[in-house]
Amino acid sequence: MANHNVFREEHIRSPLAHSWFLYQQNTIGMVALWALIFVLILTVIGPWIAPYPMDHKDVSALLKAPSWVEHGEVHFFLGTDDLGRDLLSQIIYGAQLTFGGAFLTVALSLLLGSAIGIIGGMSSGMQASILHHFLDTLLSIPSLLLAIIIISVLGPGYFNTLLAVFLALLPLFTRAVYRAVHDELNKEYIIALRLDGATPLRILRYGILPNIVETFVSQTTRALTSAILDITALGFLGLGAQRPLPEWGTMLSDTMELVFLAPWTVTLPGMAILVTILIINIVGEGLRQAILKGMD
Amino acid sequence: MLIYILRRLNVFVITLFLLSVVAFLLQRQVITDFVNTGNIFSDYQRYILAMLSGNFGTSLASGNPVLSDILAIFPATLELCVMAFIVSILVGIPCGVFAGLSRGGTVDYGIMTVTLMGVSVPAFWFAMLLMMFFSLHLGWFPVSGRIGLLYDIPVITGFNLIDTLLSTKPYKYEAFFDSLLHLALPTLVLATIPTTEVIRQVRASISEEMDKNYIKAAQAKGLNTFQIIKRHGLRNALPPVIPSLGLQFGRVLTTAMITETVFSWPGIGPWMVNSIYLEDHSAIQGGMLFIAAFVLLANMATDLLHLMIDPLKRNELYGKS
Amino acid sequence: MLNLFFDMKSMIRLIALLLTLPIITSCKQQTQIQNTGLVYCSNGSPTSFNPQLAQTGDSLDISSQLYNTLVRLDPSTQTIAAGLASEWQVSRDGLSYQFELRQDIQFHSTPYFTPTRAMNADDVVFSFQRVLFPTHPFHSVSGGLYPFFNNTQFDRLIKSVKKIGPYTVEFKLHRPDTSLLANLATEFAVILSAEYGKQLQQSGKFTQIDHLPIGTGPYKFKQFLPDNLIRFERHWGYWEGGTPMQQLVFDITPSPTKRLAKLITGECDVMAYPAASQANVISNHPDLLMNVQTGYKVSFWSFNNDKAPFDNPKVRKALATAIDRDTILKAVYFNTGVAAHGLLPPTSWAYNPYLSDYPYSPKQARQLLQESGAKLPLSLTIYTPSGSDLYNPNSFKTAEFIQRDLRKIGVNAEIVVMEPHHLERSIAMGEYDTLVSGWSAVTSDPDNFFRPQFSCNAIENHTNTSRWCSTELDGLINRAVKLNRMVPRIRIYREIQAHLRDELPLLPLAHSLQLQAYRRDVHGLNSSPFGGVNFAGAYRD
Repeated sequence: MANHNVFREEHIRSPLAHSWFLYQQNTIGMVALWALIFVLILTVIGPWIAPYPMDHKDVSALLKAPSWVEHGEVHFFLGTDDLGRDLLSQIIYGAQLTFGGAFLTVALSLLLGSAIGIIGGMSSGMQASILHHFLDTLLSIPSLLLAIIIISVLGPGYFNTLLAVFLALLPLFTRAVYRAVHDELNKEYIIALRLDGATPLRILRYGILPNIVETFVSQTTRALTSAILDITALGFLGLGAQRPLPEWGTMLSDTMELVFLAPWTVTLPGMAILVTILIINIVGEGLRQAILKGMD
Repeated sequence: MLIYILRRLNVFVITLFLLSVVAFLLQRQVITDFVNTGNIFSDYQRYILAMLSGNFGTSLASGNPVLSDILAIFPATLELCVMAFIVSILVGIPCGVFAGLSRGGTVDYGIMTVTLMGVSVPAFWFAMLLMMFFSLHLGWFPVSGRIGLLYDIPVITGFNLIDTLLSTKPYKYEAFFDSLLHLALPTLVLATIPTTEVIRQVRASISEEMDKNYIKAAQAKGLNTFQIIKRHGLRNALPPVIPSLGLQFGRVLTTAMITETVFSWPGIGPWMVNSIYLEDHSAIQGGMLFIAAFVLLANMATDLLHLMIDPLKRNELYGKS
Repeated sequence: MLNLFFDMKSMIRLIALLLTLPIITSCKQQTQIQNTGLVYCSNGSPTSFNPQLAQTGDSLDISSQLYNTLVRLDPSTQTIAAGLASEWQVSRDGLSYQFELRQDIQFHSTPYFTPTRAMNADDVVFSFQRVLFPTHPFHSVSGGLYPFFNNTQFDRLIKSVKKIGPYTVEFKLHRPDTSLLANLATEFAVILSAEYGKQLQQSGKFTQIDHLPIGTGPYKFKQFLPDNLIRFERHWGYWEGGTPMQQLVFDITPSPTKRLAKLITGECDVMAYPAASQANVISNHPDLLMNVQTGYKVSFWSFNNDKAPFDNPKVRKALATAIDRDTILKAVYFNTGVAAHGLLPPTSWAYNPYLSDYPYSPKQARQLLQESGAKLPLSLTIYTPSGSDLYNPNSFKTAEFIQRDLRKIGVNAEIVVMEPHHLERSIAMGEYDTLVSGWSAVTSDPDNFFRPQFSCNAIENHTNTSRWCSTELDGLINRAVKLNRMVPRIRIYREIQAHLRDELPLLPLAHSLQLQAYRRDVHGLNSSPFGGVNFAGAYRD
C-alpha cells in the first residue's frame, strides 16, 4: 500500500502495539486466542449456562453415550456417567475448578512472586545472593513434587491443592523476574538512566518493566499450564479436589472404573484438559514470538 | 572447579537442611510418641543425627524401616526413568535433526506439532489412553506391573532387565522379554517430556549450526548431508543435550510417580500416595527427603558432568566467557 | 560414550527393533511358563495367613489353597461332606460330636518347617483350643481375636475339644446346636499343625504361625510381598492327589477395573469379585467366561431401633414404602442381583415364599408418615461404608438413591460416608439413624443370617446394626438350632421371617449374585457360594 503521509513518526507504533499487530498475523494464534477467551467466559458464566445443576443426577439416564453415537441423546450432549450426571455440565463446572483455580493461583503467585523478584533483583549483595541460590535449588525440585510435599503436610483437598500449587509456583516467578530484572539492571541504558538521576522506581517503571514483558508472558504461560497439570494430577491421584467436585482430574480418576463401560467418560474430560493447555501454549508461544519480534 | 563444586555442595546441604527442618516440624506435630523434651533444638539435633545414620523411622503401614522400604521399591522407579531417558535420546535426536534440517518445512511443522501435543497432554490421561488402546483393545501390552508374576526372579540389582539376565532360571530370556513388554507403555508415557526437550534442543542447535561457515565448507568439500550431520552438526549440537536432560530428571521422576499409579508399577509413586492416604508420617517425610535429595543430587551431578564435557561452560565458570 | 549416538546405523537398527516389538507380541503364543502356573487377581492383601483370625468380610481366598477343614460343604448338594474327617457321629442328645480323622494327611514341608509326622488328633485339638481357650499358649498371639468364632457365638457353644484316640476327636457342646457342622465346614475352621506350633513355642517366635503358614492344603506358601503378590508352590503330598499346576500366584489388585483389565490381557487367569457393572463386558468377551451363583448375601437398610422415631414401626414402614428398590437393582447392581423380599435368599431351604412385600409407593409412604405421629418434617442420617462389598457393589450409590427417594416424601436425609473400619466404631457407638449395610453369610445355615442380625448378643458384636433386641425373636432363633429335624426347623424360620416382615427392623434391598470371571482356557476351578475359590484341581488347557 502506498504511503502518502509525510510524517512517518505517526506510524511508529509502540513496541507492544507493534507486537500485537504482529500477533494478529498469526492465524492459528488468533484462533487459539479466541478459544482461550471462550474458555475464560465459560469459566465465569459456566454455572448459568450449564444445562443441569452441578449435583444433578438423572437416574433414568445412566451411562448414556454422547449424542453423536448410537443410543446417545441430544439433551445429554456429551453423555452421562454411572450416576446419571450430565458430562457436559460437569465439564463446564469443572472449568471453574480447574482452569479458574489455576488462573487465580497463577495471578496471585504472579503478583507476589514478581514483587519479591523485583525487590530482590533491584537489591544486591548478600540478600540477593542468598535468594538466588535458594531459589535455584528450590526450582530444581519440580512444582508437582513440591505440591505433593506440601499436600502431604496440609492433607488432601481442593483448597489445599490451590495453596500447594500457589506455593510451588512462587519460586518460579520470583526467580524468573529476579533474573530478568537483574540482567536488565546491568545493561548500559539502565546505567545511563541512573546517571541521569532516575529514582529506582522510575528505573523500574520506564527502564525495566517494558523490557521484561517477554519474561512475564513466557513465565505466565508456563505457570498456567503447569498449574493446570498439577491441579489435575493431584485430583487424579486423589490428593486434590474430591468428588462430587467435578474437577477435571478428579473426574478422570473417578471414571477410571468406567474404562470398559463408558470410554467417553475417560476421553472427554481429558480432552478438556488437553485442549485448554494446548491453546494456552499456542497463545503464549505466539505472544512471546510476537513480542520478541516487536522489540527488534 | 573445586570451588564451584564446593559451592554447589553448600547449596545442596542448605536446601536439605531446610527440608529436614520442615520434615522435623511435621513429625513433631503429628507423631505423639515422639520423645519430646521441650527443647526444640536438642530434639532437632537428635532427629538429624538419626537421619544421618540412615534411620528414617519405621513405616506404620508395613512395620519396616522406611529407608529399607524405599530402597526396595526405588529401583523400579529408577529403571523406568532410565528407560525413558534412553528412549528420549533415541527418538529425540533423529527427530530433532530432521526438524532442524527442514526448519519451517512440513517435516519440521509436523514434528513440532507433535511436540506441542506432547508438552500439553496430561501424563495420566495419556497413560490411560495408551492402556485403553494398546492393552485392552489390541492386547499387545500388559496393563500393569513390572514382569509376569509367574516368573520368579530373585532381586539382585532391583533392575528387572538386569536381574532377569543375571538369574539362573531356564526362562531368563523369556522373562527379560516379558519385562521389556511391561516397560513399553510406561516408558512411552514417561519419555514424552524429555523427548520434547531433546527435540527442541537438537532442532535449535542443528538449525543454528547448519548456517555456519564450516558446514558450508564441508558441503563444498563434497560431503553429503548425512556425513555432515554425523561429523559436524551433531558433534556441536549434542553436548548441551545431556545436561539439559539431567535437569529434567526431577520432572521425569514426578511424572513417573503418576505414571506408576496408572500402570500399577510398584515404584515410589504409588507408595508415596498410599502413605499420604494412610497418614503414615514417617513414610511421608522419609520419602519426601529421599526424593528431594535424589533430585538435588542428580542436578548437581548433571552440572558437574556438563562442566566436564563442555569446555565453554568451564570458561563461564572462570569468568572468561 | 557420545560416539554411540553418532553411529546412525546402530541407532536406526535400534529404532527398527523398537518398532517391531508390538508385531512380535501380537502373534502371542503361550509361553512355557504359563503351562506351569496360574495367576489369580485377588482383591486385597490378607491381614494374616491364618483364617481363624480373619474378619468375616475379609478376603479368604488363601484359606482353601493352604488349609483344609474337618468337614466341607458339598458344592452341588449344599450338604455337609467329609473333609479331613472321614466320618462323624452325633450323640443322641446332640451334645457330643465325634470325628474320625483320615490317617494319610501330610502337612507342608517348607524351608521354615519340616513335618515329621502325618496329621492326627493333636493337630485338631491344637487348632480349636487356640481359638476357644485363653489358657492356650497361642490364644492371645496376633491380637487374640477370632471374629468369626465370636460372631457365630461358636466360643459360647463349645465346652471342650478332646483327643479320644490318635485319630479321634470329640467336641462337647453346652447345648444342642445343629449349625455346628456348617460352622466347621467354613473356611475359618482350619486345621493348623501342632508340631509347628510346638517348634515355634520353643524358639519363642509365636507370631510366625500366622505369617508363615503351614497347612494341609493343595498349595504351600512361598513368598508374600504386601499389596503386591502371594506366591504358592505345589504341595506334593496333598492327600486328595495331584495338583496340576506347579505354581499359583495371587496378584493383589484392589481395583476391579484393573482386575478385569489384567484378565482381558491375560495377565490374570482368574479374577476375584468382578464388579456388577462389568458383568456385561465379561459375558460379551470372546476369551472370558463367567460363573454365576446365587450367593448367600443380602444388602439392607437398617433403622437404628434405639433411636426415636425409628423405634416406631409405622415410621419404618413409611420409609420402606418410599424406597424404589427396582431402580437400585438396575443402577447399583446392574441387574446382577435379585430383589430381596426378606433376609434369606430364595435359594435357602428355609425361605418363606408366602410373604407379601412393601411395594414402592411415595404416596402411601407420605400418608403412613403422617399417621405415624412422628414429628415432621423428618430429617435423618444415612451412614454408609465407602467402597464396595460382597453384598453391595456400591453402598454409597445406594444411599444416594435412598436419599433421593426420601426427598420425594419430604424427608431430608444426610449421607455420612466412612471408611469401613471407621464406620465400625460408629456402629459400636450406635450414633447413626439409619445405615446402608448388608451381610455375607459364611455358612449355608439360615441361623447364620438371623443370629448375627437380630439376636441381642450380636449388638455388642456390631453385626446387629438395627440394634433389635426382643426376647420373642431371640427365643425363636435359639429354638430353631436345637431341632434336629428339618420340617420343624423350617416352620420356625418361616415364623421368624413373618415376624420380621411385620416389625421391619431393617429393609432388605437385594441379594447379589456371586460372580466369578476367568479365561476360557482355565478349567477345574471350584468356587464356593461364599466367595472363596479353590485351585486344587485347576489347570490350564
